[in-house]
Amino acid sequence: MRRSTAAAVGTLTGAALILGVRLSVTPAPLAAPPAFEAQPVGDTGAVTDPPATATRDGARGRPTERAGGEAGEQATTRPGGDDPDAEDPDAEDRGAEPTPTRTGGRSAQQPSEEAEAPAGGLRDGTYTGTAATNPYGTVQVRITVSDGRISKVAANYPTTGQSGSINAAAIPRLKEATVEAQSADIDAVSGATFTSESYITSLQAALDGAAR
Amino acid sequence: MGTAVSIDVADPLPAAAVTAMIDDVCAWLHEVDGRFSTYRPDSEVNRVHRGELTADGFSPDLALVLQTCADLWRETDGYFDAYATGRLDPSGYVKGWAVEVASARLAAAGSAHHCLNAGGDIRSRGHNADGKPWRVGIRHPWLPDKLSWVLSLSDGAVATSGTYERGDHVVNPRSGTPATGLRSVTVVGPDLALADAYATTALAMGESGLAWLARLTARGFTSAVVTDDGRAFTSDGLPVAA
Repeated sequence: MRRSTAAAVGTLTGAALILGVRLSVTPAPLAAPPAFEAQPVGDTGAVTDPPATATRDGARGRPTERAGGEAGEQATTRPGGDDPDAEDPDAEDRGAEPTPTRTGGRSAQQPSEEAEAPAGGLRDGTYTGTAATNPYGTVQVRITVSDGRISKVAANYPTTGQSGSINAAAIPRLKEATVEAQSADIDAVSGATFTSESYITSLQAALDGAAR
Repeated sequence: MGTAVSIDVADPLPAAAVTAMIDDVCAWLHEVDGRFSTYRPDSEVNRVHRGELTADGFSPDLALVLQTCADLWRETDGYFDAYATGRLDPSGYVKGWAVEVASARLAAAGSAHHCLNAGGDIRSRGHNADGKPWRVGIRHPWLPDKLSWVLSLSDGAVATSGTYERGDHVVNPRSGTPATGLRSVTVVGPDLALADAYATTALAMGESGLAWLARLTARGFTSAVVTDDGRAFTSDGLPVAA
C-alpha cells in the first residue's frame, strides 16, 4: 500500500501540483475573504508584519510573492501549532503558511474619476495596474494619487488554490518510503546509541568480529 | 555508561602506524568522555552544572561545544537544547563532534580511508579495504538484526537518533516531556557533529521534524526517518546503495 502511494506521489508531483495541495496545504475557502483595508503610503497593504527572515528565501523574499496562499492549513508534516516557525530563521516554507490575504473585492476596482492634474504633477485618481502573473500567482497593484502625489499604494495577492499548491510544491519534502527489513553486506551500522551492553549483541559487533 | 567505538582504517599503512592512529583516537575519545560525560562526577560539564566552574575557567573544547550548542539552539528555535532535561547536558552534540574530530585527527595523521562508528554515529573517509565506498546500514527500528536502509558513503557522516535503544530519552523542550512521533531519525551529511545534532533535534520535534529535515537538504544534509507507527520517509538525494 505504501509503495503504491509513494509511486503515485513520484509521478504526479511533476505533472500536477494539485497533489501537493492535497497532501499539505488545503486552500482556504474562496468565498468571503477578509475585506481589504487601504493602507497608508509605504505599506504594500496585503502583507502583515512580514517576518524578516522571509527575505532570506530568494523565491519568496519579494512582497508580491509572500502572501501567495491561503490561511495556512497545517499538514501533518508541518511544524505544529505552537511552534518553531514563529521565530525559526530557517523556516523557508514561511511563505506557504500565510496570513489570510486581504484582497477582498479590490481586484474588481477600476480607476476612479480623474481630477484636474496640478501643473507638472500626477493626475489625481486611483489607478489599478495590469495584473501580473508570476509563478506564485497573480498580483495587481493599485495606487491612489492625491494632490498630484501618490498617497496610497496597495497590492492584492493571489487567493486561489493555485498559488497554494505551487508554494506547497516548492517546499522540499521527504518522500514516503517503505521500511524494509534487509540483511546486506555492510561495513558499519548506524543506530541509536549503543550502550556497551547492547553493542555486544549488535550487528556492529558481529561485523567487527567478522573483520578480525 | 560506555559507548562502543569501532575503528576501521583501510589505508595500506604499516601496522605500527595504524596502531598508533587507533591509540590516538581512543585517547581522544577518553578525553572527551572525561570532560563531557554527565555520568562522571568530576567531569568538566558536571563541575559547570554544580557551579564550580565559570566561563572564564572553561577549557577551549568546552567553550567551543557550549558556544555551538547555543548557536544550534537559535538555529533550531529551541528544539536543540543543551538544557532540555533541566540541566546542562550537551551530549546530543558531543557524541557526533567527538567522532568528527577523531576522523580529522586520523586524516591529519595520514589516513585517507577510514570509517569510525561510535555508538551508532559514523564518520567515513575514502573507501574500504576493497576499494569500494563504505556501505553503512541503518539499523531497523524494530528488528535489531535487520537494516532498514543501506547507504553508500565516501567522505561523509551518518548519525541516527532513536527511541528503540534508550527509550524516550530525548525530551521535547517545548513540553518538557519525552518526544514522541518518530522512532528513528538518521541524518547524512558532511559533518557528523551537525548531523548528530540535527537527528536529535528532529526526534525532539516529533512528526513536525519531517518538514524541518526536508529543509536541510539545501545544505547537504539528507535524512531517513521512521515514525512510531511505522511510516518511513527519505530525502531526495539520500545516498542509498545500489
